[in-house]
Amino acid sequence: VKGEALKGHLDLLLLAAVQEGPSHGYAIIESLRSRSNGAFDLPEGTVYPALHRLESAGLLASRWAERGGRKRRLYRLTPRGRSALQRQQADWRRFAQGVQAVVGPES
Amino acid sequence: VSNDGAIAAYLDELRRGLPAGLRRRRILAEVGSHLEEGAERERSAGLPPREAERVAVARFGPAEPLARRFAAELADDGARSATGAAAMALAGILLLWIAMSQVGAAAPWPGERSSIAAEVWATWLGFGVALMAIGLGAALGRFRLPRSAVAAAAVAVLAMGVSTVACARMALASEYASAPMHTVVTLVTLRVAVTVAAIVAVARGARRVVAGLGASPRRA
Repeated sequence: VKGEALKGHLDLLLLAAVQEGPSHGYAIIESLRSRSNGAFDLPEGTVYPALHRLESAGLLASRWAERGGRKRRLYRLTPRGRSALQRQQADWRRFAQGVQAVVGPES
Repeated sequence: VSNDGAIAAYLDELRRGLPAGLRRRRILAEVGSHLEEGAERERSAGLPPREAERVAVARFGPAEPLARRFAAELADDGARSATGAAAMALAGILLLWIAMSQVGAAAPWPGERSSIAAEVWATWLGFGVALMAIGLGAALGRFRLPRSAVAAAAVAVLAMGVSTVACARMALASEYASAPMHTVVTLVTLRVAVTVAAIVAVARGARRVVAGLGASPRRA
């Protein structure tokens, strides 16, 4: 899937990627790649401005953490972020069902 | 990471594309950590160090468009903080205005004292303009128009400045003579301080917007 096609859905994907617990940029990208079975193979830098924007909007919070001698910025969902995720998940499911109904099953 | 390696060169290019400040330091540290982790994994997979760095950088994507996207986010942040500062200042000034009306016999509501009518109207007009500008600034910020949003915030603090000058004139004209002098002085000083703090905060927000958009001639 091309980065352009993912643009409108990146916020939802990033919020979903950190819903299980705090995670850093590298792990978030790995998670997107592995959970999509390699379909979402974005240029890795793409996610950072989006993470910063979600943080500015109050949907994510972040802090530095050190592990194994490496400092990493960990992102976690805020309560507002959790609500936004639930809302966006519901919107996405409605949208996907609508598209599926029009496009039809794989022949 | 070697100083002449691909990661150092990438971070240098990114640094040049971002406005200076705390956020730039954080971005560079975060991106640097990511690239080092990527290079380390490539080394573990058997690549020589230089090639490992090159692969990690290639996977990250080009620095110039990334710097543009970050700079645009910084500009939006600047506009948001300017509008937020103006809104907080207006709330503070309104509370101080109400406090003044409680301690002085000259309740500062329009129509109550003809001798201070001009100052009172100037103050309320200032509040009205500031409130509208803050609302407009918030809406423009939502539409990701940071320059216009910060301009609206500047109008808001200007209007608050005018109202603060009007309020200080009233105090100097002894319109609050029935109130203890130190209370009036304290309230007027606080009001001036809040207005000045708002001007400084909006100016800093404006500087971030200018720096962000200057580094980002077109929005990514």
